[in-house]
Order: sequence, then structure tokens, then C-alpha cells
Amino acid sequence: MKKIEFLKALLIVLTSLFILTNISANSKSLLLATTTSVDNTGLLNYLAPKFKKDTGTELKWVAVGSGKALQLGRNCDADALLVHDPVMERQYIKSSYGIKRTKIMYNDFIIIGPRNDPAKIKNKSVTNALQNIAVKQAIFISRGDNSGTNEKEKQLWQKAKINLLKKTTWYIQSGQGMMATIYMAAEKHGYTLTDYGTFIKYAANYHNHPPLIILVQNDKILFNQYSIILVNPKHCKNVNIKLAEQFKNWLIAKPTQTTIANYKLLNKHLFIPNANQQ
Amino acid sequence: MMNFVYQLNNIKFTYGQEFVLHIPNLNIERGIILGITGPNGSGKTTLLKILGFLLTSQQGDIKYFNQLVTHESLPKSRKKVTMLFQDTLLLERTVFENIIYGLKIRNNTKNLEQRVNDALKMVGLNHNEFLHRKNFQLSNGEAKRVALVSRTILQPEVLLLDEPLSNIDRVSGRLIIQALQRMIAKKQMTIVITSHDATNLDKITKDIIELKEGRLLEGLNNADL
Amino acid sequence: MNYLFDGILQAVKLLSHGDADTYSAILTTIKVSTCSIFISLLIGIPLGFKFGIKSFRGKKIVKLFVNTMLSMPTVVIGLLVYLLVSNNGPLGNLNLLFTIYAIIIGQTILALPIIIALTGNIIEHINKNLPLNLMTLGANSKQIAKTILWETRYALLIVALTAYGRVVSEVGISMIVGGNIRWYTRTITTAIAFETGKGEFAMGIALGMVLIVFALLVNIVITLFKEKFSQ
Repeated sequence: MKKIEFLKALLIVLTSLFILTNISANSKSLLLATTTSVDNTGLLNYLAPKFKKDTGTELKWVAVGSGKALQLGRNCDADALLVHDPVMERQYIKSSYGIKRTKIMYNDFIIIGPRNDPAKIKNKSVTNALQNIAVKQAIFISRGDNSGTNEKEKQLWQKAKINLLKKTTWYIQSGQGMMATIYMAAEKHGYTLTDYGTFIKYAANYHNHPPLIILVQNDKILFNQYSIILVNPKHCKNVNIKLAEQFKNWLIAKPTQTTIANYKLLNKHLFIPNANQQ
Repeated sequence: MMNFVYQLNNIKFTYGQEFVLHIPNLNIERGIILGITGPNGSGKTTLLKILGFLLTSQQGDIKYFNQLVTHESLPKSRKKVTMLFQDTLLLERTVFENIIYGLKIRNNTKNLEQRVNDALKMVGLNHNEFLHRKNFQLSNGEAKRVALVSRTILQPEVLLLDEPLSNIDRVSGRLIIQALQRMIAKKQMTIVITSHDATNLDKITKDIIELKEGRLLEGLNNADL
Repeated sequence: MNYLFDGILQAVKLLSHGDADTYSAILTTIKVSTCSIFISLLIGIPLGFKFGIKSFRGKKIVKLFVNTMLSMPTVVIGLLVYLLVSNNGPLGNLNLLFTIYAIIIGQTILALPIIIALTGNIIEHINKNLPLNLMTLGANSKQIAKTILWETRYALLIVALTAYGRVVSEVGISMIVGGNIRWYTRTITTAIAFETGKGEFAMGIALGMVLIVFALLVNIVITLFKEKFSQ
């Protein structure tokens, strides 16, 4: 009988420990659904402690593609969304799933590829570059996951009048996050579209000598706007609308905007704040 | 007047669609050793299990000490009757722990070591350190004797033994028979033993019935015993 | 190969300097897996016992179902749990999504078929006369069950450790319903997937090493008990 008493006591101790270590988890916290390109750069790791210090609210986030982030909002599984797909975002607001869309920061999309540039796209316009890639059938890795980057990429192919419906050997859909996709492009000596921030983080991993380099940039069409959308409390009864609003206001406030501007890797700005340009 | 332990009335047992046993009438007197013989598959084990209240016949009824046995009275009756199976099964534990298993269930746990030693004496196994031997360290004969003791120590009203002498050495067999005879002499219980070999039973008792293909045969002694 | 060596060096550094992210992932994994195993054993062993000890009508169909569940991919379980606990879903009010509780639910679902099927198999293979032997000594059904489970305890322990290994190493459930949230629902396995996706191979290898050490410890325990079992 002693054995059973011991086991019971052990069970009680373990359960108590378990409960104690989880109790702290319920102070004010906000759940943000965001994109892998924001998360991969480490920006949120950088901002979260400051947000906690300034407001006492804990920032928690899940990093998925913009498409999935918007879906999480529709399912009322997140309080706010930080995404970069303006077309989808506007539709979202129209459908009343989200409210108070607010611009936060931007950077540019770029096309990166191997140093030897087999499709010869360096410094060309986006449309010309994509046409070269299609004609030469050079390997291009797409996110293929309805993310903001993916949606932009699809728009660019459309503008270049290239139809990608058929299965091809050179257009590859990774279905993964931005950094993972860049690594895949490097493995296959191929091209890909990425946001500037994630690319700089990638280059930093290689002490500024990465296997893939920037080949196409500065085209107006490559502008990449990040915005926050609050989940509509009329649609989702349980959303932490106050905390979501607090986070939005904190993001657009001058001090935070400066903080974002100061987030650098390899001495380069990853994001440029533009909340003043609503 | 005869004091019957069991009164079986029109017991029919089938296993699924298969006929196994039919006993129209059998009365067993208290305090005897009853032998049941018959070839393998003749229903001896099934009859024993029915007497042990481990199986319920599909038809017929049993009176135990003149009380009709019902579904509700089964658990109580099971504690008065115990059966030793042909396949000697001991639990993965020491001899001592095996023997006291039934006693612990009955919360009958005073003076255990003394009682276990006394019980083992009856079958010649009370030597040093035997209590601490593990089940897998015993010979067939030793295991059979331990299994027997684990049942007799419960002081049942009826002891049922299915082929108790098969697969064990002669010495163990002899010690077991002696123990049974001693228990009968003390008028402490009724015993029912099966054996496919009638000559084995002859040495122990004159009260023998024979089963063939699930039915009692005439001849030898039968019916009222 | 460079990654491997650099990774191992990084691993030793992270573990010895008590890197907070690493230890947080370790703690989360232990919390979640241990909890799910406890619950699934509590439910699964009695069910497995009932399943193995009797023959009943439809047993073959139930067996088919349980065996099929053994091959359920973790991402499918993750998806099903997501539909259950999402705010849109039936249990939405409980706010379980992206918490360790959702992971625990999913991992319990993962472990249950393993425990039920393997326990049922063990019980099916005990000596058929054992229950009757115990009954004739006066044991009721509850006591018979307890005794049989105790008799088979070493085999059952192996079942528990098998299920534990499965649960500790899964990614699909933790990722989908846990969300890989830093400090809260990032387990060793989701952290490895995450770090690898970012190209942080050293961190991935470090965590991989922790998982391997964990699996090694589990297997050492299995081996020690196996030896006790086969005595």
C-alpha cells in the first residue's frame, strides 16, 4: 500500500507544479497573426519586450502566410493581423472581417538569384526579368502559399503576361516560409522573390557573403507595404479589441516608429516606418 | 439423513452451438471424495467449473447446501468453493505472495507467515527459504503443491481438483493425496477430483462417476453418492 | 558537414550557458508530453484491458478502427483538433487554440490508439485460465483486472514508453494547434522546424541533440526494464 500512497503524492506534486508554471500565462496578452517575413527577420523578438515594458501587455504571435493570417482572423483565432497583401487586405475590410487597417512600415520586394545569373536578369525591369526567366526556363522558387509575398509574385507574373497554370520543371512551389524558400532557391541555384528584410537577415547568416544576391530592385511595382488590421469585434465577440487597439497605437507612435527605423542588420535598414503616410 | 452439498437438476451446458454436458440428476454428499473419470473432452472440466460456480449452465439449476444458486448469490458461493486447474497457474511473485492472494482478498491477514508455513507443512514444503522462491523457480510438482495450498488455506467448503496428478512427479503426487486424505479425515471439506485414468482414482476413493461425451454412464457408482 | 560540427559546438554552448529559448522549449516539451501520456494511460489502459479480455460482437470492427488510428498522421490530428478548438469551432469558448492545452488534447488523441491497441494485445495473450484462476480464489472483476494489469506491468511499461516516444517527437500537432509561440507553445520539435526554416542550423542541431539525448534516456529505461521483464 505504501507504493500507492507514494504515487498519489507524486501525482499531486507534479500536477501542482504544472499548474503553477502555467498560471503566469494569463496576464494581459495579445495574439497577433503575422507573416513569416516579419518573423524571420527577428523584428517582433526585438519589439515585443519594448511593448511589454511600455504597456504591460504581452505580445504573442503566430507566424504563418498572410493568407492564413487572414483566415485566422476570420475564424476569430487572433486579435490582430500584421500582413503585407494590400489587395487582400482591402477586400478583408470591405467584408467586415477586419477594421482600422493602418500602415506601419514598408520595404521593397527584390528578386534574388545566383551570382552567375544564368537568365541574365541583372538590373532589368521586373517584367523583363521574369520574361527572361520563363524563356530560359531558369529555376524559380515560389512561396506557393497565398502569403503576401506569393500574392505579389503572382501579380508580377500576370503583369509580365506569363501564364503559369501548367506544371513545369523550372517553376517550383515550396509551400514554406520566406527564409526556407530562400534556402531552397540557393540549393537549386534558382531565383526567387523576397522582401528586403528577410534577405538582409539571410545575408547576415553568411556574414554578408551569401550564395544568392540582389539582381532586380527599385521598380515601383516592388513596393511592399506592411499594415496592421484589427479583427472586427462585431464579427468576433471574444477578440481582445482594447489590447489590439493598444498595440496599433503603440506601433504608429513616434518612438516605436523610430525603433523600427533603427532595426538594422549588416548596417542596413530592414523596414522603413511609414505610419505617417496613411 | 443425507446432507447434500450439491443437488444438480437437469444441467445442460453448450458452448455456442456445440453440446458439451447434460446431467439430468446428480447429488453429491457432504464430506466425501468424489472421483470423476472419463476420456479427454468428455466434459469433466466443464462439470467442475459449474460446481465451482465459474460457469453457468444454460439450463437447469443447482442447489448448494439446499439453497438454490442464483445470479445474485454467485459471488458469495464462489468464496466457499475453490478449484485447482489442470494447468497450474501461479502469479509472477513469491511462493508466499501466491499463497496469501486469496486471504488478502478476504481481508483475512492475521498471522500470515505462521499459517502459510503450517499449510506448506501439509504438502512437505516448509523448508527454509522456500517462501521466498519465485514462481518460475519451482518444479511442476512444487508448483502444483503451492497452488493447492493457496486454495486449501482458504478453508473452502468444497475443493475441486482437475487432473491434479498429471504432469507431476510421484513424490509430489503422493504428498498431495496424503494431504487430501488428511483433510477428509478431519471432516473439513468435500472434494471432487477428475482423472482420465480411473485406476488413479481408485487409490483415493470408492465414489467414482464416469462421464462419456458429456453424459453420465451407468455402472461404477453414480446418481446418489 | 561544417554545419554538423559547428552545430554540435553551438549545442554544447547553448546547453551549458542555459540559453533561455532552448530550456523553454525543453520544458514545454516535457510539460506537454508528460501530461498527454498521463491522461492517455489513465483512459487507455482500462479501455485496452476491456478490449482484450472479452470477445464481443463487433470486436473485429473496433480493432480495425483502432489499428487505422495508429497510422493517423499528426498533421491530420492537428487539423482535427484545430477545427475543434478554433473560436469558430464547438469548443471555441474555451480559448484553447495556441495554448499548450490544445497540444495536450492532440497528443492524447495521438497516444490513445497506441495504448489501447498494444494493451489489448498484451491482455489477449495472457493465459486464458488466469481470470478463472483468480475468480476461484475469490477475486471480483475489479480485483481480477488489477491483478492482471499488475502481472503484465513490465509489458505495459514498454507500451507507455513507446507512446511517450511517439508523442515527444511529433511536430504536426504542436505546430498547427500550438502555433510555435515563443516561450509558450514552442516545443523542441517545433523549434527545430522553425530554426531550420530560418537557416539557423546550429540551433536546430542543438535542439536535435537534446531530443536525441531524451530518446536515448527513454530507451535506456526501456532496456533496463526489458531485462527485468525477461528474467
